[in-house]
Amino acid sequence: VRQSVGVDSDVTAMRASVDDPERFAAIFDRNHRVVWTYLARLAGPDIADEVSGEVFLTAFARRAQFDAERGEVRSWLYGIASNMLRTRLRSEGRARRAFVRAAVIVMTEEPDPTNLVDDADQIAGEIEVLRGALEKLRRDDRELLVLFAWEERSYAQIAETLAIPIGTVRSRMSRARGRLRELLHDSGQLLDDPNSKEAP
Amino acid sequence: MDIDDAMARNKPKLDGPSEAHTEEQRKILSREIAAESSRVRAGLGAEPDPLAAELPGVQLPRVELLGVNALEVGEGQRAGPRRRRSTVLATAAAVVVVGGLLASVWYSTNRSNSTTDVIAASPPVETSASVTTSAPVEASPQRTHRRARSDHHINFGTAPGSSAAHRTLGRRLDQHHRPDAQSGKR
Repeated sequence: VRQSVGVDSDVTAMRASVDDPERFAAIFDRNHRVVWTYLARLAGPDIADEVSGEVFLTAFARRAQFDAERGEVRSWLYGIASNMLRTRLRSEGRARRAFVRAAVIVMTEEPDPTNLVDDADQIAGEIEVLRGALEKLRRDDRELLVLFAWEERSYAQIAETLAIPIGTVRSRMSRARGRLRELLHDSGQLLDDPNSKEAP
Repeated sequence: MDIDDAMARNKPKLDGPSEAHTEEQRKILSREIAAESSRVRAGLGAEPDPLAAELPGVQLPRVELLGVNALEVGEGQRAGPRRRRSTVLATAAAVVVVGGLLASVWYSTNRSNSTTDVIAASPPVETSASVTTSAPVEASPQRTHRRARSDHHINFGTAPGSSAAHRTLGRRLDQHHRPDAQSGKR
């Protein structure tokens, strides 16, 4: 697989892989870690291990259906990963439990040394409160916030990933932020007014 | 504290997949790629997507099957002309079925009423003397019971348009003719 990693872009490799399947290996090498990390943040490393491989097998089987005009390859892969995770964690309860397990793993890690907050206990407390609030969100809203804040996807890329208009992404992001702000405010973690206007 | 800042400050730091896992996934994918390459070289073309019908959750390909660009029409509006047409047909079929049921109920009700009216308006039938004076026909209890049950089911219990009163009367007749009931045993 590694030998086929070239200089071509994901789109070029994807198009070429229809007639030359070995070109798909470059897609895997460039994106597997990213897709795995996204899945792990939402559901933990164990489920990421199980689902990430299926994501690439599915993408390979459907590579001829990829349309570059609808978005980039990574967005397409994120979309497949999201849907496969939803299929696997069909119920909201299972999705929340998986998210909590992922949170436990994250909280056992060392605090980020670049973080401006010095007090490790405070950092851990903040992570716990934020995770608790995220857990109470709807799965769709949680997924949206994770894509934006942790996966650093733009609104346009999220729209490509979830196959929804960018206006819908904006409105849903606003709703998700508002709900999260309320939850954090209720927990005493967020001190500003939960009804304050959303930043653009 | 801004929500985006709070999220960014608490971004989970993960080491990524283990090297062993990544290698394992590479091997699995390599086998798929090798098999597909053989097919392509043999001139068989790309293998048909075996997962197309089994993974309804994968959005983009599913939307493509409908012939609609999801990015243009948006969530909740993905139904293409084919799906709209099938929805209309399903609705029309449902209307026909419900209409048929209503018509059946209306017909049964009217038929029941008209039968009752005819019975109420008809003069009493005089009983023939030969019938009243003829010797009783011996019949086994089982046969009587069978006939009674049969009468009950045909004339009262299941006849179209039979009323609740008729059904009650049928049940009483049924009990009366049951051998156990006559002997006082249940």
